[in-house]
Amino acid sequence: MREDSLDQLLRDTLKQEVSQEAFRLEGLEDRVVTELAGRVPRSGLGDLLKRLLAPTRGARIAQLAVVGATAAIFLVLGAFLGERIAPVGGGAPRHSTPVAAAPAGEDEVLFIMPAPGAKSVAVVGNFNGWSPTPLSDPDGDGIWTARIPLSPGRYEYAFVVDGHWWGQDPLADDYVRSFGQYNSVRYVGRVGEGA
Amino acid sequence: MYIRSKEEKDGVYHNLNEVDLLRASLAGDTEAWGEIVLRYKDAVFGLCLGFLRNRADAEDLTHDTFIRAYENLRRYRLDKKFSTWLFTIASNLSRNRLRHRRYHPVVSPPEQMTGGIDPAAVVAREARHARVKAALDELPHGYRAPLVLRYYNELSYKEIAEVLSLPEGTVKTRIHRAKVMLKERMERNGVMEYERG
Amino acid sequence: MNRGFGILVALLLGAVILASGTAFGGATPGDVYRALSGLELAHHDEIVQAFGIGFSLGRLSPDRMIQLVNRLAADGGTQADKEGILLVVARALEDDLPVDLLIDKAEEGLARNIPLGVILNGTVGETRILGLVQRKQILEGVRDLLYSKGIFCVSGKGQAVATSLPIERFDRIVTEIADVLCDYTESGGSPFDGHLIYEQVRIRLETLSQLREPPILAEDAALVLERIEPGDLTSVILKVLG
Repeated sequence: MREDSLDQLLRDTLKQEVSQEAFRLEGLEDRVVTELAGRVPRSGLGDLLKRLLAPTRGARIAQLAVVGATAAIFLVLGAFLGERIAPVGGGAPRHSTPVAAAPAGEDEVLFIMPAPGAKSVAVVGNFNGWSPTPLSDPDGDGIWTARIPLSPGRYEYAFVVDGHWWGQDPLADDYVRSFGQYNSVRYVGRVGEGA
Repeated sequence: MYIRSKEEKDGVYHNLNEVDLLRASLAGDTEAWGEIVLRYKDAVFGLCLGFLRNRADAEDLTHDTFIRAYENLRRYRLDKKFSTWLFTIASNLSRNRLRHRRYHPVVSPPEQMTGGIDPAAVVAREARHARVKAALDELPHGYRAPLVLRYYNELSYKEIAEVLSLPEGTVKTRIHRAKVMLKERMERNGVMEYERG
Repeated sequence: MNRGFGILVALLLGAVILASGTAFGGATPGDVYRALSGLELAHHDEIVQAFGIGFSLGRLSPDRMIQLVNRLAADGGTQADKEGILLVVARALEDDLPVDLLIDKAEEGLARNIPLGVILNGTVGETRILGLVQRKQILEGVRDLLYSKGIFCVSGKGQAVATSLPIERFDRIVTEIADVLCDYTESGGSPFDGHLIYEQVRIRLETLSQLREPPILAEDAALVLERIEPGDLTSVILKVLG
């Protein structure tokens, strides 16, 4: 690499870094002036909230709050569903959606989503190329289900309820963040489960 | 009493030269100091980012630099170059933060990469910049700081020596060595390969 | 395998497949190429050539690709971003990387109506999102890490030598580890917590290896977990985060 091209690459990279972050500096002069003039103390409630919600420090706290609240909802939901869900691949589910019998080596995986009043519920995931597979609610009690044959592996998915994504399935093994939202994760083919 | 609008005030300050702004600031005019912040915020942020390699920290320290500088403005001698004095404050704050960070490591989020006209150029350019940044990250701080002051803040060797409290000869040697290290790292990481097409 | 030879093989295979018109069940590579020509790509030839390599090595499925290309065609994003997405996949194939992770994320992003620029380049701000560009870099970092640990090496004749893993098994491991690193990063984890990252990798590999008909073999998981160290994973993420 030539000396002058390295110099230029360095200049460009450092400048690009700053220009990409220009939004951080928007209104900085006003904030400094306001602080110096003592009009709004820096430790005010607004500032505290802003700092709590700031990306590097607050996001984790806000996330924890969301996860905590969601967990509470799931506890209630789980207690409700516990009565209704048959184990995957075993027993006769009360709410089943007819699907083709699972091919050899695949498990028929039950997806279940309580959505009373919903017009449509589907599941999207890396097992169907994120194209909706519909859930059904034949008896109209608000519990939507689908059984999908899947081979052993790890699957990420979310429910889509009337067009809104819901990525926190109480039956999931795990949750991950994706595009700023949650996806549920299920492992299919655990020994002692399924087909 | 006639109260000037914000636009009018901004217009007034915008046309003042640096010395007048500093004089007004020293007299307690915080709006004049706001104009100084406006003029130097990019340079200070770039310096802090270069030192710290973390955007949120750099943002915090840019703010702190202007507060600290205002509080210490009486110590600034108007016959000296203001930017050098300001960069010295930013550099000291950054070094303190680096010392603190040894025990409290943090990481910055990935950069936002914006789209461009030619998708190949976008992909290649972003990958190349990412590799330069990775190579910069690997440089010891003592070598990275002079490099940033030279290539981002466009300071002379003498000014860099002043900001970092180092002999001028040491600054020259470090910049030379830093570039050699950077070149090796980038070649090892394959920057040149990405310059195809 | 040298690249020229690979391209030749890919083109030959492509010709055979086009002639037969029935390969790969649903869509054929020919269908994908036809769909691509509708996108008016500035780098059409490079993309077609790279996809040809992908089809021939089994790294790319025509069914998935046709779906991706059609979704891109229907999206209202810019031409440059559409092509950028295809180009990242193409460059990954040229760089001898597995691409399942990239295609899956692109599909998910499109299904979620995420702007193409974000799918491609990610974002900063309150929510950290890794784009395909960064994901490709992480795949590359993981692949290079495993190479450096002697987990996969190739003899002069392009054959895997003893104690290394065949390409499919190696691809799978690279993909899973890279996916863990991406998940960890998007969840706001610090790359400096190498032991946490290692733990996540361990859980993923061991869980997969304990499934019925495991997608990752237990001995492969053990080999990887024995040779990589927490600091290695930190380095891979740091190189990408900058």
